[in-house]
Amino acid sequence: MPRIPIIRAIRRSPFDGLLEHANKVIECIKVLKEAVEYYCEGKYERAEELAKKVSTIEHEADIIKGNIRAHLPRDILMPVDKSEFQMLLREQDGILDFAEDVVIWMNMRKTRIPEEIKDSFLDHLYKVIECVEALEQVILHVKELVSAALSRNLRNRTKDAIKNVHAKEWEADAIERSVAKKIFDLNLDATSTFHLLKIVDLIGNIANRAENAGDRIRVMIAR
Amino acid sequence: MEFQFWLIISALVLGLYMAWNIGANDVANSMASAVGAKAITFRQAILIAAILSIVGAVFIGSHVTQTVSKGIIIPARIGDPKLIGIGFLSALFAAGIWVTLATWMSMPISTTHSIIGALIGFGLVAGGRNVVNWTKLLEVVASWIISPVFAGLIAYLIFHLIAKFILRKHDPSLAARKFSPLFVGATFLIISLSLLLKTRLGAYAGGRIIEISVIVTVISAVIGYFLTTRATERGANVEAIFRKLQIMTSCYVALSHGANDVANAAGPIVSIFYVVKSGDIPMQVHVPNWVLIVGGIGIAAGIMTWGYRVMRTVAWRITELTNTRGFTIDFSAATSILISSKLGMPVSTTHAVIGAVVGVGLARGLEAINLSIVRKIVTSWFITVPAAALTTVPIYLGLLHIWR
Repeated sequence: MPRIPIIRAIRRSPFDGLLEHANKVIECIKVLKEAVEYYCEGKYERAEELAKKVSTIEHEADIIKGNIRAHLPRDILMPVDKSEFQMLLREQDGILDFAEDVVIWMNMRKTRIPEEIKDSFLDHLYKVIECVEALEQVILHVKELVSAALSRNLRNRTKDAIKNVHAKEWEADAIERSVAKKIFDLNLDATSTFHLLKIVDLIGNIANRAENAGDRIRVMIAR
Repeated sequence: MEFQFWLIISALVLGLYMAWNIGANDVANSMASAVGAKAITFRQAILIAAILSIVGAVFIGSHVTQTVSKGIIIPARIGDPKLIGIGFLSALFAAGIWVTLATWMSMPISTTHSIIGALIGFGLVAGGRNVVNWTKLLEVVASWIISPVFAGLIAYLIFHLIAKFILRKHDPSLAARKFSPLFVGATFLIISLSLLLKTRLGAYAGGRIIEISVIVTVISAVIGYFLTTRATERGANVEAIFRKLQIMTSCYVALSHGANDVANAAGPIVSIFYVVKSGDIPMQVHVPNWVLIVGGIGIAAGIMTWGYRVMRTVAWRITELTNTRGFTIDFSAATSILISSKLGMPVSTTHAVIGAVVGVGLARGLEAINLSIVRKIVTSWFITVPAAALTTVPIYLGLLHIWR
């Protein structure tokens, strides 16, 4: 083995790992969508199969996260605040944790989704997914922004993209409240009410995590 | 006669071995950023490094070679030419052993530090404390700290400059086109001044060194402007423009590397040559051209026979560098090394490169750099010098026993 200290000095970019992790989030959220849709149609078996897939993806993403962290010991110098970067990764990972929680709680009981709320229930989910997708758009900007030494143009574009995440989260929140209201209005049995509210709440948490991740990026790219 | 014959033969063999090692191992560190940023392929790097190491060694290498040859120890205070000859040979031997060991254990140990350490060991054992020129040694040790720090400082400033005036602009490739004549001109100005100031080549130019350098600078800047303009017309973005500039700076690095590191092999050969030829080392050492050529060819041979393996490793292990960063690292390291060479300071080229990498990192130009390497380098200073010095002692005593 030759002596090449420069190889040890220049490390693999943590942003590549972040992007890889973001791709897992997108992959996971798509499976989550399918799983919830099948559940709504009463195809519980199919929903359970997809739940397993969500868990698998969540586990794969965990390994990527561990890898990024393992390659960021104290002596590593990054162009952005390293602790903000770690927090961003944690928030992004939180999306996967909640996605897994959604399918797990959903499959604990076969609660029929009443026709009256089905549409808005799914609308909420779709809005949350849009929010996550908006976040991953921001993540794509980040690497470009770092190579362009935080250029103002790109930074403004990234900030706009973060605003988009906020907007989606806000919309999702509004839908969440109306779904909850509708669930109460239906006067279902207590168990069903609790189960449905729990699922809606967990889905909403996904958007919250995406929003937090966006905020972390905002702090990270401040000059 | 027989002693002198074997002395000069062994000096040449060991000197060539040192030069071969420099080419085989050290050159990859200096060419790494150009290869890592894909400005040149590893084959092109080998060719550029081989040719320009010889050029640098022959035309700019004499100052540093003088320092290694008679700056660190004062041969006159040993007196006996036989002891001087054996001493330099032992130093070369010990340094060779350390460099081999370092390669084998893959430690970031510098060839320069090994030879300087070995020379100190020889001086102390052969003539005691008075033989070592402590003032000069202090200067050299200071240059070991200053050269990487200086490279880091230039890198920090240049990357800030590139970031502010090019990367953050609305149209970065247009800004890069405007700035590239400045970078090209600066590079050629430093190179032509180094080639002409206080060199034999400069003697031919007579008193017109400044004029020649200015003309070279202007011409190169104009050519640089046209080349980058043509590149942008063909749709080159900012990184593509810097890729072109990096071809130039990779030559700059190779030249500087040859100019500085040839001394580690050529310095002791020069001393031994004088001992054999005239029985002592004159105050004013004139470094014979052939020694620098031998050293340069030795480095080139190391690059061609073994360096390509190291270079290939570099090519696939460093994938994170962009051309703006690679350019900054090359330019800063080469400038620091070349100035050191002109001042006669034998420095570690690898450490200057690492200094430049850290400088870009501190300017927030690299996505992740490992600062623990800095600690390893500092540790290696404290280990290499005494270790090489100690290794020289038994070799010296052994050779003395054989040849007495």
